[in-house]
Amino acid sequence: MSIFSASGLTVRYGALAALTDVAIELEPGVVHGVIGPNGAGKSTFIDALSGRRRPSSGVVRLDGDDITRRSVRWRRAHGVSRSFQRTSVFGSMTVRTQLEMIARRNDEPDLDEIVSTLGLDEVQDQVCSEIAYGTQRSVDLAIALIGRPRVVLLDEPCAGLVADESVRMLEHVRTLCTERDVAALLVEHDVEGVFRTCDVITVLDLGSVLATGAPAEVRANPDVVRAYLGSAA
Amino acid sequence: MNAAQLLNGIALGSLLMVLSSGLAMIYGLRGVTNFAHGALYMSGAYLAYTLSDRLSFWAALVLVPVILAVIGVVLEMVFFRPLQHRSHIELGLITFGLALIAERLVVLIWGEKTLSVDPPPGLTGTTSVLGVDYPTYRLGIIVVALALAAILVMWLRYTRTGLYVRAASQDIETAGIMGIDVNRVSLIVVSFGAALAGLAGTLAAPYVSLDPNMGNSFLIIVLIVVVIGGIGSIGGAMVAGMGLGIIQTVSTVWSPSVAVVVPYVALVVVLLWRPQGLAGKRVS
Repeated sequence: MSIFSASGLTVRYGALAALTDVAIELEPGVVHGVIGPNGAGKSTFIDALSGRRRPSSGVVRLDGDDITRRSVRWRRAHGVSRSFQRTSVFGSMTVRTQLEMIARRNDEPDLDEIVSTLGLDEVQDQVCSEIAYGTQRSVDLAIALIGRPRVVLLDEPCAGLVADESVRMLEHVRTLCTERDVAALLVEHDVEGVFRTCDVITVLDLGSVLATGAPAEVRANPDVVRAYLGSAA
Repeated sequence: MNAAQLLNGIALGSLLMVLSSGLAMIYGLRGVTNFAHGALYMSGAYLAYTLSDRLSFWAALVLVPVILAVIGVVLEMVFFRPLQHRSHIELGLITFGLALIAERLVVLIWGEKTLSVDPPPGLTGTTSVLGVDYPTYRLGIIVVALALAAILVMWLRYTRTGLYVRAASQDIETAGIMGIDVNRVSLIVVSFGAALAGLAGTLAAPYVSLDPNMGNSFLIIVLIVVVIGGIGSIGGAMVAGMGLGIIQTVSTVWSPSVAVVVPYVALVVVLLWRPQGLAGKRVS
């Protein structure tokens, strides 16, 4: 049994079905990528998993228990964390102040490890809105990892990063996920990055799962090539 | 301009500072423009009138903020918390209605007549400051308000609850997800903000005259102060409150007919020059 799973997940906005009958299973230590063209339902998917949006039907399970109707706050307190696709959550505080505050509220014994893995030591005492954009994204990732969550849902952590920052960000995700034995879901636009980083990949198209499997399988899948990757990939 | 006028400006600025920092805190946390804030100030002044009549001014100075804090708890529990997911305009209208109700209640209890409160014995005379004889009570206002502002800043900066208040003002949703009890923080802030309004009312009672419209006319200036300071910024509200108090008083001396429009001109100028206010977050 997987630690975090969803099945039959359907989200409708009025008459439009943004997500239809999607299933996913996350395992500890495994980075699970979700890719798909614009409008494939990636954001809706992560919203439904994290509790920000109630699905029209379907079930989300944590350790086999139905948590579909639990709030974002409840999920965070019970080990399901998500990153925010927005920078510097508490922009006017220093990096240290906000990380320590969140660590205190979420029982994180080893904040230093997160800080040093993400290379945030040097900016600890700077005000968050004044540090480089890429570093702000790392603070975001740090926030999501505080409190030893067992499941981390990452919503485009590389959005807006330049190529080498993006590579570094995904390496951090990979390292922290393995070291902390976290089940990670990674929604990302950077397709090559996802193929390089993830153990399992799910491709969404028009709100449904087109394929799920190891990177090599997914890359070879003819449906995926036709719908998304194109013949050159 | 002489020192007395400057001190008058500082006294008005002190009151504006106390009142607008409470309003800014409530706005930061609940996203509500509390139009009832002027009514809280007015209620504070009228309660101070009765309490200083029955007991003493000093008793009023302690009791009125306590009573107003309780009213703040009611505001939070009955209106702000249950309605937090409604649109801001709806909540704003509700607080506006509450202000009108409070005004009527004051008329029913105390009447429409203008009332006045005597300064407490011991602070009735004048004191020589910077070469002028200045009413001692107004100096008292300045001292108390500045001390209060200092305490407020320290509380926000150096205490854990203050940290949570700052976090929740920046992003209440995320703060909640991160394990901060935002309802508790909000309860503290709204009752504290109401207590500050009560204290401002009590301080003002011997300085201004009491009439049932005093709250709403002052509210407009306070709202301008909060917008100039940068919506939701407590420090900005303090600076803008003091600045506007001084400018307004000094311009009254120079040209009373121009002084009336000074707050509005200041509002327009600041918003053209810095749309986010003096210390505001960038408008997103």
